[in-house]
Amino acid sequence: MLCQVCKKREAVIHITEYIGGVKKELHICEECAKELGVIGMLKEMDIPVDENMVKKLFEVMVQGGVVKTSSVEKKERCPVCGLTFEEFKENGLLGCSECYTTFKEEIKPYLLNIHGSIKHVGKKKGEKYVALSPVEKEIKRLKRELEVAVEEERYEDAARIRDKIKELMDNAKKSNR
Amino acid sequence: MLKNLIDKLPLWIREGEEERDITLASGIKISRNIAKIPFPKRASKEEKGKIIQLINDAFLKSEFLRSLNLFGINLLEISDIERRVLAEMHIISKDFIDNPYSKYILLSKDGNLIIMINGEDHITIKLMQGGLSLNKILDKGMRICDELESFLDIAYMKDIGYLTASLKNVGTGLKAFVFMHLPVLKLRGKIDNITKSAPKFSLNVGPIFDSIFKISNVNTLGRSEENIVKTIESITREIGNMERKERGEVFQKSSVDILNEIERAKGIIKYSLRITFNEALEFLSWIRLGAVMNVLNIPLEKVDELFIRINPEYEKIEFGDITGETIDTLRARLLKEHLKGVI
Repeated sequence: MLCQVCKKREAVIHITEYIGGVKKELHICEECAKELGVIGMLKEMDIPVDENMVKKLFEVMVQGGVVKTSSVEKKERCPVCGLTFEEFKENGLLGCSECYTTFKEEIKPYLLNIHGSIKHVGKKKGEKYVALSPVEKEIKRLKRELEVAVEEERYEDAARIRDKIKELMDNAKKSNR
Repeated sequence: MLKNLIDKLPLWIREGEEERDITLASGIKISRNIAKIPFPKRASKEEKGKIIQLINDAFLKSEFLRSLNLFGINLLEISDIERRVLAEMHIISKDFIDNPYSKYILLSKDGNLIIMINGEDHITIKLMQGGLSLNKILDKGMRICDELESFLDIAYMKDIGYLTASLKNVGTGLKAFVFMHLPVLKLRGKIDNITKSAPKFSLNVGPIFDSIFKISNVNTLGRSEENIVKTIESITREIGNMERKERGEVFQKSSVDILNEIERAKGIIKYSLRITFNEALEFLSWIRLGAVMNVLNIPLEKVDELFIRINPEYEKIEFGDITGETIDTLRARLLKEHLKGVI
């Protein structure tokens, strides 16, 4: 079967999912799966991004050999605390903040498995968390979502989020008058 | 000194009005580390000492942190019983007391704020309040983080946020939780549906004991602090409405089922000489429902305080390392005293 995305290469990953009683299928080749990533694949299937689906798809990608989890492991030690990745796997704890740089690639599958994401969207370092009103909080949250949408080139979503932000800001202005 | 302090610790649960009929308490835990120094488990004695020194300096420099008026305890300087009491009362975690060396806790007088130093992470900030109060305590917790960040080089990476020893806390470093009281959903066997649907929202819902359930977030990465709190609050309200509906129905259709449980709880507390911890929880659960449904005349926050006070270890502060039977006797006496006029 040909890959639904590039329509050139042979599909190696086959996903069938029932969402709200509707059958959705995706047959995709390794290259396209790599390119799209988990979120892109969900979009391709027209499935709303849901953390559990992200995890599930990620597992499919591991099984399909698109994402390698073990073969990329390094034997090296963290230069600050001396931890090896083997030691991390034993007790699940990293040794210091530098480990996150040393084992950057190795921990990615673990992060995706636990959180369904590898992207921080919360408060940034140096940015003050101010006690905001519920509307201000919602605007702030949407602005972060907008950033992520733009970064992931989901422009339709970005436009929708931008309109929502505008609407909330306009309403807030009106009620302040 | 510590005994007096510990006696006041359960007071935190009195604050907080929102959704009190269905929630006992809310809490958050925020983990932070200082960059370039190994996490406590891999740090040397000197490095852990440095962490304590750096945090102490931050408190000296920051007027805001000092205004929190926290009481510092070196874990090594208190007795084993006192350490266990703090853990049993969920003031600090059980893992935290395992090895008391180079560990400090900073504690507010009513027990609502605890900062643990050199636990799994360099800094763990824990805030608690009665009822559904996540938003309020998140604001306070983040304010403390902002302040620490002004004076300390906090470990952070642009992509994955705040760095923690366990990958389970990385990102926001925020774990939020709510303790719900769901006696009627439990009585009618409707809890399973709820616990099963929780993972859909990346939440954990599980029984803590008897009819008390804990709802908490699984993910700390890929969602913002506001989003974590918002999801837990909305699910709490949803489950709470289900519980309220069941309570209303059962009181209309077969109130005797519930009244029987409440009266039995009263009777056993009144006439028992010994009450085990599990029994106490079960009886308090019915007493609490009686208070919510205006069957019993007792303020809810008083019942909630008892949920903490009946922790067996708590009584050891006063009476030393006593046997289980003695604790059960003391517990029976304590319940009778506190529920005087109600039972």
